[in-house]
Amino acid sequence: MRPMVLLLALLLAAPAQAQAPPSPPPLDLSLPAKTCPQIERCCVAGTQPCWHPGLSRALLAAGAGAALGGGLLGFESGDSLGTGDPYAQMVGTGLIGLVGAGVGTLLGLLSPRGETAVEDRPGRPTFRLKLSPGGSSTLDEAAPYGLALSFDPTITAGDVFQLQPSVGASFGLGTSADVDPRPQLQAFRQGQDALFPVTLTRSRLKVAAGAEMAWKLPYPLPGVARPASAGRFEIRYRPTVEVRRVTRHPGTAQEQVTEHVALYPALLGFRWHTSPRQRFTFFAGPRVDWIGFSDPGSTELRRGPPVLGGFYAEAWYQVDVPLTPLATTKTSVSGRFNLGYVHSKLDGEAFDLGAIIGFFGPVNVSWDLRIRRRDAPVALQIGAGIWLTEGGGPYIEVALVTPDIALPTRGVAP
Amino acid sequence: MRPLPLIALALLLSPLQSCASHPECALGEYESAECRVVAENHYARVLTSHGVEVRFQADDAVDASSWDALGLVQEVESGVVRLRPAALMGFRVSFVPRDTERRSLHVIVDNIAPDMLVSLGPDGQLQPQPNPGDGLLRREFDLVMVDGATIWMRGARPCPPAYRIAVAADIQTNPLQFERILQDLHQQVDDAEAAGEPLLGLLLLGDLAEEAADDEFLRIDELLVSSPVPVSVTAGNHDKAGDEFARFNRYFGPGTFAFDVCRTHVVLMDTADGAIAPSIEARLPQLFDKGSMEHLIFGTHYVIYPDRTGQGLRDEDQSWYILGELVRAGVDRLMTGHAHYWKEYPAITIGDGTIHEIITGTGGASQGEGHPRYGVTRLSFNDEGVDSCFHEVPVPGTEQPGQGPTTDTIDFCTTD
Repeated sequence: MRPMVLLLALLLAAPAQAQAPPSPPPLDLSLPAKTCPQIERCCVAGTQPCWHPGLSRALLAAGAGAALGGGLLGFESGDSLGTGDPYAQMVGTGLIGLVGAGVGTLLGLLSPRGETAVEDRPGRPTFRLKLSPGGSSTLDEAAPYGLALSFDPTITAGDVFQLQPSVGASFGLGTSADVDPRPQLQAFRQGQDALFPVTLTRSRLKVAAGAEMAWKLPYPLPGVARPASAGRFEIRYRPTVEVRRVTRHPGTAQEQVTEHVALYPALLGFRWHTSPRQRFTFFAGPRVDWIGFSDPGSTELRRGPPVLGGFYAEAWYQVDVPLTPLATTKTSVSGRFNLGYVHSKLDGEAFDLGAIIGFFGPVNVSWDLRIRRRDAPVALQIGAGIWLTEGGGPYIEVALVTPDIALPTRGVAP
Repeated sequence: MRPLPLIALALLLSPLQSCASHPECALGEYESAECRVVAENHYARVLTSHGVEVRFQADDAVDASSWDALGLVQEVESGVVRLRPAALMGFRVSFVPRDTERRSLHVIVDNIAPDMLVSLGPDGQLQPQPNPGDGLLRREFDLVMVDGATIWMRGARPCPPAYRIAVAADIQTNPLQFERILQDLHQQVDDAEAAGEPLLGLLLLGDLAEEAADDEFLRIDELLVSSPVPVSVTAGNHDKAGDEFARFNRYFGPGTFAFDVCRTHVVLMDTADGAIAPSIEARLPQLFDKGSMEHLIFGTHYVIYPDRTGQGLRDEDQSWYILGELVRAGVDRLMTGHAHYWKEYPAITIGDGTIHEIITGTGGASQGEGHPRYGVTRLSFNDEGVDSCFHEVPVPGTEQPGQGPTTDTIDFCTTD
């Protein structure tokens, strides 16, 4: 934990040396409407390279469509979902890319002034608190609220490299309780409905740590001409480790613990800025598992050696939304729409459709809102979203965004 | 705009506990695993039209005051009750008249082995019933109850020193191929008898139907009549999707139950949701407890070990818990379906132990464009422990068993 403490101290000291994001420039309605047209090639002042949102989204849709089609075809021809089959990941990622490109095009066309970049757009906040509701409508059962805390400072080196160390924890604000509903077990209390015995209680804890690194690639590659203007491209690497612990009381007073340590040593991805306001992000990589469990009444875990776990993937399409009408002379406001798919079944969430049960990971739809008092170093970011999945649900986030920690750079080309 | 965020926040933060609470499954949502626990226990008893309470009972039940989900009871017509025991080797049923009037009942018992010895009578005075010796899985009895006395029916089979159990899953759109597998079982029964390892039954691990429709379940129920051995069944995801009527339980009884086969403890579990019901999760140590049995076989539809892709339960944590409990219980084979092929994982590392898992989704469902491999997994229990292999039942026009492509990953049975 020491590096994190040092990092925190550095972060708190940072405002003196860090640069607060520039205030969004006041809207200049005198600019011509074609400053950055919706689907044609455009150049945005102060940003490189030029963009061609229409072409970018067409390329994304083609790639995503190929992934989706390939995934469906592969599953149909194999009907196995066996070892090494990447079909579910391909289908999930392809759908996000395809829907994102479609929604992005629609939103681009609806942008009255074209797709200029949104200043001070929502991004990953520094301090975040997330709350997901609990509760059960089943008599005598309990499902606690979920709370997650995370700390993700951002360190930058010019416009080329970005590092985001991350540490976080999530847990239930209580213990879940489930009853045994076998009708022969019901007991009656006067004036109440039938009561079933509580047979299972569980509490969960998850701790995660990692770092995300992003390198902006020269466009599109060194020494290659840039006629297509197909958007900025970043290579990303996010090594992460997660520890999940579930404590159960399965029908007895003796507790049992299961522990799952998941290491993602080679989680590689990319971010493709398909327009000044829109981007597609993809990560994939192997997972290494350590599984442990305890005997009833014992807290000593029977851990095993590392084994290769499920292949992880996630895909996101994000659209920045300028909220100029909400801004005042003192406050800037911007929004972001997120659509994502996460191919993982580690948190009990899965996107089911008919008999297609447990094949896909969760789908996320969310909205972030960043509010900053002009020239203030710290911004408030609030968000709300829903995991559109079995086992998922809505959540809200409240977060603070502190200035990036800018490392001194020498000779880094913007 | 201000009221909208406030309303959203209020909705999000309003505890659902404050909504009207009701008991589990009060709304009849039988697509949920927990609701099917209610259904399978509901269908394990019936109050007949003329007032006789018929209940499946655990072998150690001391009286008829409760019951257990160990079979299916239906009053098929007034005064006629059909029983379908879920286990392969025995069953116990109580008949309790609600009053002292003379009551008669015609009882049909399906899915019991031809060598099953059935006894009938008041508690402590059970009389063995003559075995018709017709080789069928059905018996019929006439019961007369007087003075409100409880009548018990008990079935038990002799245990050979060595024996076999067949396992298959996933029929879905191809009951015709499953019918071939059932027909092939007749030869397997003869071969097993000759080998000194009688075939005692078939475990059918879900996805009997494609759309959980009545006609699909009815067809499989009809086909099972032609089986030479009793069949224990659990549910798969296709047996419950879109079904709000607990059809699977209505046709086949429980999806989660445990029983003993000679020296082997067998547990079948409903994972049709890609998950197990929390109440079943709580009962895992009890269900997996093999007591004095030498072996433990766990059969379920979903592939519990998630492997490297999309297999496994919806929540991996539940997989790790089940697998940990199986290690603790000393499971010999974890048998699953869901993936339409035959694949063996001889030593999956779970904590400080290992598990031997076999996927046998070979009951007839489409296997895609590759060479189809249909049949059953044969589990043999003898002096050398537990052995397993794949007994292929080829579709007409394909190679003989064990020949053709993709044979390297399959452990074909080399003996009859």
